[in-house]
Amino acid sequence: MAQAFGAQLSALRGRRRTRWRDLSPMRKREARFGLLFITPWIIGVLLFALFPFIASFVLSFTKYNIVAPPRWVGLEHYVHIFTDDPLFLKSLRNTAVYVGGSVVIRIVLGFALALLLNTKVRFLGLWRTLFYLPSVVPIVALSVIWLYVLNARAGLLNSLLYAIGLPRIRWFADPDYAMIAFLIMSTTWVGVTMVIFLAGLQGIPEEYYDAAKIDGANIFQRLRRVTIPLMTPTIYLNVLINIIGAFQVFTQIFIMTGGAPRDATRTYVLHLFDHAFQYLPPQMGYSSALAWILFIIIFIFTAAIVATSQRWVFYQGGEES
Amino acid sequence: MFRKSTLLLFVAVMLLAMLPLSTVSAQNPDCEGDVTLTYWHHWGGNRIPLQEHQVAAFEDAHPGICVDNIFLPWDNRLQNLLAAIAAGNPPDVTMFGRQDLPFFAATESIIPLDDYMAADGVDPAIFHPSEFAGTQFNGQTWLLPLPGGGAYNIVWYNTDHFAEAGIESFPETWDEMLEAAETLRLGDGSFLERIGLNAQSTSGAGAFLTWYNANGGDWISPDLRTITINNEAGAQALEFMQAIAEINYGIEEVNAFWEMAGEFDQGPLIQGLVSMEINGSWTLFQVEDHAESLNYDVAPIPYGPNGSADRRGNAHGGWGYMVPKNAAHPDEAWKLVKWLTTEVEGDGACWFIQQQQRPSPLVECNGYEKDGVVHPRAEALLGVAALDYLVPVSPVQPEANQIINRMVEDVLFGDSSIEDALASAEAEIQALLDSFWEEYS
Repeated sequence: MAQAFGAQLSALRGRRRTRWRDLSPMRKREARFGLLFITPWIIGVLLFALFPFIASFVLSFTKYNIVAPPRWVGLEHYVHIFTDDPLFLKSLRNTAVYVGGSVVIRIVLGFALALLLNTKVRFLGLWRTLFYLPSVVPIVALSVIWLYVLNARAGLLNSLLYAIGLPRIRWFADPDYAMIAFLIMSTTWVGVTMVIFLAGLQGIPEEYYDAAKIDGANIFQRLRRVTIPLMTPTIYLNVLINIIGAFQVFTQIFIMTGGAPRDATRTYVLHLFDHAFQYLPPQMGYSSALAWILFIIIFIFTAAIVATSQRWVFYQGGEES
Repeated sequence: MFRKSTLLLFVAVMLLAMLPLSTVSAQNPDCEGDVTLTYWHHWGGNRIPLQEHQVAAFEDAHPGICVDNIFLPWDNRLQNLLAAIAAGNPPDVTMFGRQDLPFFAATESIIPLDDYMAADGVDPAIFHPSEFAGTQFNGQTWLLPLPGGGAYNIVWYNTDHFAEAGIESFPETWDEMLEAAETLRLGDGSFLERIGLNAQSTSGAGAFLTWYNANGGDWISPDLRTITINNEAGAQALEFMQAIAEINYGIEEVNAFWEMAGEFDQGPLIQGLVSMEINGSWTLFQVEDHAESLNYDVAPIPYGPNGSADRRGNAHGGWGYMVPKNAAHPDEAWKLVKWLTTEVEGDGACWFIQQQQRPSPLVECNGYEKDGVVHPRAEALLGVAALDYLVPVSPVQPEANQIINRMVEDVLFGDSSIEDALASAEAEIQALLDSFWEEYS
């Protein structure tokens, strides 16, 4: 998938733009139909993505309680966030811990699983399904299941720890462990990462491995010299997807802890949500300002990864990104 | 052919999958009328059939008016309501937390009911004065109350545990409560097996304000503009909560243990996890539905060193029914509000509250009298409720609650001194209040 994405991007870069008047009548008719067919999507994007995107930017400079018209306050919210919001930095720090931990877990575990499930093991389809299945379970149901698994007294995980002679951990009662509990939970979605890696692995031509074997490379050398370099476009894609998703972690934390204990699981989006929907008067302007700061943070991270990708992402045929 | 049947199967499965989405809404198919009211409420569990019966009785008594009776979860109530009001498509009638009143009234997002009351001869005196007081803002009536706003803090205690521990009478003061909590607690010094009392688990005004009230503290001035918690009564309330947490091997162990407790049949008293549980009057029907064999009794909250015997639990907020601005049928909506809150004869307000056996805000309705029989616990429960003291709701209550919870955690986790925590929380809430009144006065 990532290989194809890179190839398409390169092809687009090299393509010369065609002007409307140069098109044949048939191509013009096709283009009109094409536009017609994607019109619902365009309207959807304009109404439900672009308009809210712009509106939230404007609202971030206003006080807006939903039931009365917004009132312009300039940069007041941004100044307050950086100078007088005790939960801003705390929620940002918690989010950074979640992003760092969950992205590493999902990339490493997803890659390892994909390597295993790319071999000729028995019941391959069953294993792939089993690992992917949790990803399609609704997050509310997953949260309830994990509350049972991580219950300090009757939880499955603590029972296992106790059975092997380790002390029970108060996962959601101890501020030092609460975020670790959510990192453990983040393994639930490793199936998505795994499937993308699997697609990437299956795109590597067998000839490369055959050549490496003839040259005497062992399994680890093949992994290091052939698999990983050729998987960098897929790793790149997975890192981007996971970072953007992890920064927006919300639902499971809202359901399971609401930010407790000691605000140890209060993530950025939960903080933003409280200002918009939990407090009275609702602070939609303030929330919008928080949302735009998050957008800028995610944008910077994404841009940094894209900018550095030229140094570590390789496409087959020697073409770099 | 195969493709066509597969497609049909797919469509059928999709339609079946969508069915649960519509079960939250109940509309009587036999009702015929020109007007259909949209009614939102948050009465879950075994109150859903009671609601349906009450609404059907309203439709019978008001030919021509039908009701789309919609149950919504409590957690997202503000989100749903604000979005509906902003979109210009609010329900005609909605159940409404009295703690949310100041903001909605200040922005005139709901309709004052005084003219309707005057036209229909609904006298405020039909409600207990403290209940009606919670419906007022800027001298106008914005909702009518039901159920009662008091009896949120009753101590429900397991009499078998008390007998086993040799405790003959229920504690009256905090010192006695501490002693009882320690005697009733079971554990090995670090691992709890039973809690005597969890001081963080109360209802109504929240844990700290409950203890502060029972210690004689008034947290907000009558004009709702000044906060006062940074004083001796506040410090003693936090010290008491700290002492109870230490008896239970610390806050982390208490919270870990409490993860086993849930609602209804999973309640801590019903499961035997706790000997004394502070909870509202609704615990009565939960115990009767799920723990018939439980031997229990009720008592008022013990009072602190600054408190007094005649001021124990708190009346704080409660519920009511109101009509949002831009409701499609405000006149008919008022009729439903009246039925849900003032009807004593038919299967309306009084019937609904009696089925649940909980305190009624209506003077002429004894909530503990069901089908002509007065509940044997009625006298004890009403006696406890009579010691309730009004703890006013601030206009910034949800955020203030969060600040207070944070203050308590700061102290219980040992991250802050009691003095610093109180001073910081008071300043933070005062700043919020100042900002609110600057905007909305």
